[in-house]
Amino acid sequence: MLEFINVTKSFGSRIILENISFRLENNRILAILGPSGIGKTTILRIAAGTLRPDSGEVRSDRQRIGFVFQEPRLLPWRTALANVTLVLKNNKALTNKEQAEKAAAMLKRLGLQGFAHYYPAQLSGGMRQRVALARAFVLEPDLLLLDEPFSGLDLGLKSSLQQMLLELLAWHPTDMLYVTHEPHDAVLLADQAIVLAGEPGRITAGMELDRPREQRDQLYLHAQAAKLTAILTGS
Amino acid sequence: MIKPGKYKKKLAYFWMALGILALGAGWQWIAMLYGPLIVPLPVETIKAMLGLLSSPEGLAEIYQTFYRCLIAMLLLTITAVTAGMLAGFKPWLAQLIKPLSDILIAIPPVALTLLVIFLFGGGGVQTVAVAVALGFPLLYGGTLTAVRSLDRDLLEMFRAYKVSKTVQLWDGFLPAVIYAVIPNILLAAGLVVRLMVMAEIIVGMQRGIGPALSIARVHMDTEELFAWLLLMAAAVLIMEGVLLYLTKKHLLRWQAGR
Amino acid sequence: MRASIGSLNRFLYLAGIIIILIVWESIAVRVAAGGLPNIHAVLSSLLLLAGTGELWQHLLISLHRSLTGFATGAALGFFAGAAAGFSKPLYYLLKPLVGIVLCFPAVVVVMLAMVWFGIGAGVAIFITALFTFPLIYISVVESVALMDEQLLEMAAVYRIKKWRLWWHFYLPALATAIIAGFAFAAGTAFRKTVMAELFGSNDGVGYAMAMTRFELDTAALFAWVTVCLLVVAAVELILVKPLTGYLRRWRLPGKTTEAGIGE
Repeated sequence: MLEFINVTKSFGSRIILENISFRLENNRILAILGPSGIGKTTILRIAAGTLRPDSGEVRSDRQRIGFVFQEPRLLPWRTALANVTLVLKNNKALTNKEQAEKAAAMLKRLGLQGFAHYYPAQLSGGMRQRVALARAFVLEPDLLLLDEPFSGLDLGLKSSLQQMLLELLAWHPTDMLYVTHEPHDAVLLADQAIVLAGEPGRITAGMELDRPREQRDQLYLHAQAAKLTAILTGS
Repeated sequence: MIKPGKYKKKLAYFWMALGILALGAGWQWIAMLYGPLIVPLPVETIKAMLGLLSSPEGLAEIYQTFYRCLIAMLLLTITAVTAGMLAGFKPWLAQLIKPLSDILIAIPPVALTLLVIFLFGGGGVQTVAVAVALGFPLLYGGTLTAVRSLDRDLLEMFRAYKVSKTVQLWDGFLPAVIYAVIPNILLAAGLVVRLMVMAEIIVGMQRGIGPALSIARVHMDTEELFAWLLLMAAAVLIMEGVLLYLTKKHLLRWQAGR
Repeated sequence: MRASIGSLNRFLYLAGIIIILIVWESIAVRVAAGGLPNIHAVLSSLLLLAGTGELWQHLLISLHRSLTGFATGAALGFFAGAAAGFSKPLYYLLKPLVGIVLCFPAVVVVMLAMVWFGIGAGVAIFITALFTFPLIYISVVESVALMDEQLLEMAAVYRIKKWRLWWHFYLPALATAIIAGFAFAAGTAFRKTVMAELFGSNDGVGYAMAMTRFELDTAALFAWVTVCLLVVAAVELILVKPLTGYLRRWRLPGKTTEAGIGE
């Protein structure tokens, strides 16, 4: 369970976020939308624990947090496999061998089985992001934070990565906060979407998506995306 | 006019080779023009170089200087890199060290050598001390820059995944700094060699390349001077050029993407 | 916030200097005579040198040689660099020459110069020129190479006449990088002159420094070292900073020649 209660955050004298409240549990996916710079990433950082809110409360019993950033943020001097095992090193229960096995299995899930010993520089942008996904999921996280992970990728790549994400979520359901500015992305994955707007950023609107993910067909997706876009553009 | 884009590698090498030939030809011409006492012929110089490398006396001198340089590099690396790393994390420390670094850069190397002689006498240790002191600003500065340019994004990723400090050190910090610092170490090595020879002469060492140069000058032996010049230039060239290239190639494996 | 960080930095810098001075004083007190002079001794030695005129005599000689050598090397470096910047074949042709000069240990060349020119001004000027050349050359070449290609394209599209191109575009761009290169080279030039003089001249700052050895006059040596530091500092303050500051005015965010314009 992750819960924000009236969270406010300022940087210096500027109030970035005000009265942010939401609750995430039961393996639901919450999409956060809004214009650039409004503070969506800040919410993720607070959820991850790397930033503290100035006021309000954050309740979380989440221990294993996976974070997929906009850039892959891989260690350039380590192989793909080593990058994935990196986050397992805290787990004293696993031996090095077990860690490597888990990492290799994860990479295989993402279609990277031949590339475990490649360095990030030798991989394409899409492949690097897949390694970042593998790194997030190898933890078997109870909270997943995604910050526009597929922006900057071409549509074909993006859609195949989104498919992989759906498969991963089917394999290991988890709570997920998904920041994006694309309504189409949100309606594909999320159970609920909130919209941030204004200065300081507040939650101005929300939308529920009741249909289970597997049953969302093109028609449904287009309709919901249109609805969400309307909310975003304030019409 | 420069044409944008890459210049064909083969063409580049062609012109460089031509440049080397032109140098050789120019040298030969000047040597013939001014006579071998002023400028020795290229062939003679190369013979002299090989002579230095094969004769026991030549090797002995080279070994002396090399040994001192090695010790100097060891000390220099330990002090400058440690200082650079610490100063990278504590800005107040960097500011404190800055005046020292500035002075060591601004002071003419010969002046510092004389200073060291005055204070501590003359000897091998003093030449090493001079080389370390004068090489310090370069290596320290390079390490400092490397530490300062550590990727903040990676740091955030570490914190989000709650990676332990030990792992952060071994998998994050050290590789980043070491890979950035190695080129600086090589540059420092080139510098140390040049400083060492100068220090040897001023201090008045008995053995080493410096003294050999001094003697050659007294005898007006341009041939030997040229031989040493080329030998040392080649040594510095090898160190700086080739090793740097090899390191880059290794680094390139994981740096290409950036 | 900003103001206090700036003054904190200055304070720490001064603190660093003060620490050095304190260490100096404390060592001077303990070490036996002939060792480290205390600050007072150095200052009085400095004043003495100034008073007898020795200071100015040697300093002027060194500065003159420095300037001459620097001007020669810089001029050669500038024209060669400009030519090489515009012609790739020439650039690669000259690459071996410049590369090898950069690798020369200065002392060896000094020894050679002493054989060639004997003891005197020639050695100092030659050395200064020789070691200034590659620095300026590289600086100029790099700045030409970095000239904004987008601006070049704009000029081509608008068919700007060649001479206008030179006046409004090439020269200012070159000037920026050259100033930066000059800054660095100027400092090294003086140091090289002093070094050359130490070995191969009968006058000048370098010679004066060498002479202090025979009288074991540590205070005088320190005095001369201070003179050197002051010269380098003066070059920085009087020449470099104002020039780079002036040039900074039209530094666009993002696109500039990186040739080391001081932070």
